[in-house]
Amino acid sequence: MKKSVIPIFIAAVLILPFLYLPVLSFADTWKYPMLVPESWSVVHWNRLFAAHRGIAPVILFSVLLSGSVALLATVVGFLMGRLLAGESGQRQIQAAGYLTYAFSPVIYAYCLQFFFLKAGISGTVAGVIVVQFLLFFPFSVIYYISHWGRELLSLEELCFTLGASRRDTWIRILVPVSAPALRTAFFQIFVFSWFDFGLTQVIGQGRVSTLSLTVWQYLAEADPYIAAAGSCLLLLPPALLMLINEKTIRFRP
Amino acid sequence: MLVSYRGLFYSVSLLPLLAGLAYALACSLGMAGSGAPEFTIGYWQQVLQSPETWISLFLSLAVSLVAVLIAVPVALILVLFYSEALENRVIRYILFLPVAIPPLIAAFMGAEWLGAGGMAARSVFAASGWAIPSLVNDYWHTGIILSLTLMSIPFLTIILWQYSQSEKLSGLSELATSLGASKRQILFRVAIPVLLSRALPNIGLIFVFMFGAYEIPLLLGMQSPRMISVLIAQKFRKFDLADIPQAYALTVLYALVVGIIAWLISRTKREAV
Repeated sequence: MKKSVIPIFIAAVLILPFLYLPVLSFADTWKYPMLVPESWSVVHWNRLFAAHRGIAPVILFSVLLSGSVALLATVVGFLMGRLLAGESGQRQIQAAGYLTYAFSPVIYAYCLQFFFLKAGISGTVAGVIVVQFLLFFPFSVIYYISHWGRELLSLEELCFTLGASRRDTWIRILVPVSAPALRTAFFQIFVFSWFDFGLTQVIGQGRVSTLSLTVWQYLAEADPYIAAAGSCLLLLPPALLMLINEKTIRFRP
Repeated sequence: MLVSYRGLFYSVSLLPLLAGLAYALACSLGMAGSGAPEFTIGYWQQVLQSPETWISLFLSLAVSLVAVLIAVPVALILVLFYSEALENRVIRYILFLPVAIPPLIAAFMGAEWLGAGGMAARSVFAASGWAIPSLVNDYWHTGIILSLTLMSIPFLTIILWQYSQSEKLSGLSELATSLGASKRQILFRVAIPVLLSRALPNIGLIFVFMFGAYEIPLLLGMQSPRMISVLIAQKFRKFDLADIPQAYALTVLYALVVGIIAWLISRTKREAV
């Protein structure tokens, strides 16, 4: 137990600010220097679901948007990973992938804005899906290149040797065997997209509204109570996913 | 055939970025963008002669460096001295949970906890009766550094913990002990060098992420000086059209710095290998 004191302390320091979010969202009045709210209320949650068109359509839209991006990047990344697997030049491929992935999303979006305007997809849902795909696809490929190792390639070869068609090999063997990796990458990219702020803000041009942007709007309006309620909703999917599989979530500042 | 597959990958991953940067360079030289194309180095002169540019770049590098220099030792301490606690699933879950926090929420929490009248100020007041100054929008960028550090500690801990297992650190330590090494020698000559050399590319990547961080400095930083991503984004949003080519010049400058850092990381990695 003694050995756990420091990690528990550090964990508490890391986690406390986030336990604060639901508390703030249910606080009615909370003046300085009180450590806990003086009174509680659900008024901010009511405001959140009643404000503008309501938050429910925004949540639904965000889920669909992130789901589409995650599905697209996972499937294309999986196939591209197979095409690039087991060959030389992996180092350059990884370097190219990481370079794009490490680039500041908001600056990346400004770099691409001109092309999106010319293509007529700036300020549209399609534009946001494309720009998110461009940033998250390299991550997906990097992830799957290591997945398509010698073992899986040998399995594919074995299926062909035993007379299986290409279609059967993929549908009956390769995809089921890769299901955990497909799931992990899908959830990971879903969370990246769910969290995205910079890309959607620049390419969406205020016409594409996601939960992240809505929370930002409340922050910009200096309304911390309703922003806290929105933040709770924003944090729910990744926290649940992490509970299911702690390897699912990685970091992106 | 591989060349074409690789070409296909580069054309989807790298080409948009390179095309964007080429356009940014053309705009910064007056060859593209609004108005008639006319080659000029005026925008670059304005950017390079502006103290704001260099202060912003230096600030971004300094903030990222300080955050990494705080986060790495904390993660190392957790992995090297408290590995048994990390085996506990509940502790691990709580410790790693902030990895699932978006920067936007981290920025919000930074403002709520470290700002004037925030939870940190309330706690200190309750414990001692003292009032502490706001750590948000402050001269030393304390709020930004603390938020970036707290965000990166869980990720670094995961990485180092995984490497400590894959590199069989306990076996290496036992071997060193049997060869007569002291605990101090094992720590500084075996454990830390093995972990750091393995995790160096990841640490470099975190540094690059922090260097280009946007949401946290946007919410917790001062109006001036600003970190590079915020400075670029604000220049893009200004109504003065003369600011746009400058924003593109700054974008190219940012890309150059990221490229140099990436090159340094790849060089270090090669040497380490």
